[in-house]
Amino acid sequence: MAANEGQGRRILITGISRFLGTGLAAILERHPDVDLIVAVDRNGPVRELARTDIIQSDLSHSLIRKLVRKLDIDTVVHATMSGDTTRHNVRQLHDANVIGTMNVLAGCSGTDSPVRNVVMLSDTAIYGGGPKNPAFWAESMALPATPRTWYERDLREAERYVNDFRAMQPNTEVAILRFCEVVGPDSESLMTEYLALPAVPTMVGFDPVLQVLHQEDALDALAKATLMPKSGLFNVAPHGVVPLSQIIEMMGKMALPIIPFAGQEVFVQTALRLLRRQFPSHFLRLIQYGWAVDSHLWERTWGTRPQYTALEAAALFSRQYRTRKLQEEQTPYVYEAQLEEFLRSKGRQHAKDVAKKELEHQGGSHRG
Amino acid sequence: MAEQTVIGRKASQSGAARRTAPRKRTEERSAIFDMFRSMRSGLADLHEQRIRGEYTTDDFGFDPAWTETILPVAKLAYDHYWRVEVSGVENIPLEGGALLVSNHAGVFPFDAAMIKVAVLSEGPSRHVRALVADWMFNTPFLSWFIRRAGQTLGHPDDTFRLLSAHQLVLVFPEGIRGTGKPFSERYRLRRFGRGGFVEAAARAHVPIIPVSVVGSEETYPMLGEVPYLNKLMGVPYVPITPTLPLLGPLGLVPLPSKWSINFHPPIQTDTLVSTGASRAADIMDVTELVRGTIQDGLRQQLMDRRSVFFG
Repeated sequence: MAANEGQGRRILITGISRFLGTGLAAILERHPDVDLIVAVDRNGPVRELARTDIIQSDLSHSLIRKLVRKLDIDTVVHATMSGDTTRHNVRQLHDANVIGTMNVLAGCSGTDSPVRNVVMLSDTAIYGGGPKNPAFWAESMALPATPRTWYERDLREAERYVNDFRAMQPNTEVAILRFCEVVGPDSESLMTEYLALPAVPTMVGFDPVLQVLHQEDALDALAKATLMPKSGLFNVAPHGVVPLSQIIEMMGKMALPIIPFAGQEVFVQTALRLLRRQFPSHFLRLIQYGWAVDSHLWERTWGTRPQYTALEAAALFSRQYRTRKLQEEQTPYVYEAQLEEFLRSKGRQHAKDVAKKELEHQGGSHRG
Repeated sequence: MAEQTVIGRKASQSGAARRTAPRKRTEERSAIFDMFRSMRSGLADLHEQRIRGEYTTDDFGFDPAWTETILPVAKLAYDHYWRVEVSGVENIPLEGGALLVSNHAGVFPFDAAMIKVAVLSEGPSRHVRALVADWMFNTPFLSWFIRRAGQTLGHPDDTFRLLSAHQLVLVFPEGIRGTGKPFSERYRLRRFGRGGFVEAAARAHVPIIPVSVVGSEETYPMLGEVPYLNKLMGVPYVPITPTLPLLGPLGLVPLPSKWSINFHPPIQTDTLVSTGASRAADIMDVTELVRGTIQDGLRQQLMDRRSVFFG
């Protein structure tokens, strides 16, 4: 922060093709203290953004290195971690998760690096599901001796790089946020796609309790971590838990207990492939055993508290889910995109002023 | 003399049994009707909420309303099958956390269910949260059932979390060493874990209430176990009882032994366990104290019991 004292924040978001990255950029755009938002991702954002500069590229070490130094980036938000196999295969995801993280951190490291804050989005899936799990995992507890799924292993490797980076860069605030499942009308995760199935397949004889965080709380947590940098490892989750069967009931769907609890790799994956749905192994463990985390450290550190409990988040999501068709029908505001293009060509300062005015004009209709 | 009294008792008992048999049968039948009636009305109430998902569970997935609806089944076994006699319920606190520590026996953990019913119906009508072994959470249906009914894993952090939330927690420090022991070893307490339960109670500043249960050992007299099959099924043991493989599924019906449950006076961990260097020794001392109390209680209850099935 010292390098940018008195100036606005200049933020790089790695990974904007998923909901959390795009949502964070949208919040930062409305924040008057943020001078510059740059996003790097191979794919574009999930919705239109006003003043975020997007570089469509893979996360290569040299690109990140050049970007942070030339643009004097002070904060890097690393949001590529994903276990979502519906869009990419496992090999691609492993490259994005582990090699991507390694490249981003390598680009940010060095004594000449202007980066003072790093926020890494991790996943509570790192704890994994199993019969020996405690009811709530705390950050201080030791992880199971061996990772049981590829995603757990990816997350561990990526977090290890982040911890190494923290050790090498003592002047940098490095926060790892382990998010639980995020639900909401815009969130496109494995969980929301799973719950959107016409009949929801469940594991025979298992009904785990889960934590689902509403997207508003998730974005709020992410924005706070970006704008008020802290160092450490934090679980981000709502209060309480909710049984999977209850979420399905609230969604007004039927639970189909068809996934056999044994021989999963053989039978389940074949069956799901026939249905053209493929759930990764960590997700199957989630719907078999579930896991929940203790998020008090995160709440204390940022003096925050999630707006919705797990039950309330699930209830709100189920209500919002029913009107999703109406939301989809809303055509994007084309004129605004053209205006933004014009404003951007006229210079950044001007665009920022417009964004500020827009913020004032909209008043309390937006958070952040 | 001794023989005469025995004969006399037998004669009078069989006579009494003959006289009261018809009435007893109608009583039991009405109890079953009552159970179904209360369950049906309870389930009808629940159905409306359940279908809409309008209910709340606690942090451990415990659903009290649902548990109270299925409880009449356990109450029926409690009243009419095992005819549980309870003493010392006044030792259970009306509020605040406490750790109930009990001996563990019988192939299936019916003792946990009976202690839960005893506290709920004859004690301070509070729900008891039992700590269970991890293999149960790995078993289909059972994992769903026990979580809904308020049980959680015997993890030190879970225990502490429940006790600090002012819950009554039930723990069986013997674990499967207790339930899986052969019939010839009945009512002989096994090793009481490593004193982890004392540590948890001391950390949460709650008392320990020793509980001794008699009758549970005779529900399934375990003569031996089937080797290898347990590994295949993912359970700790596959028992052989006089009826179990012999009568097929009918062998799963537990024997109707007469039960007694005694809740002993609380042991204050706050005063007995210091925070200093001698903590480890204090914890072992309290573990031995609790174990001794339960063993003495069992001895007393067994001395008072004349017949396994009639009490």
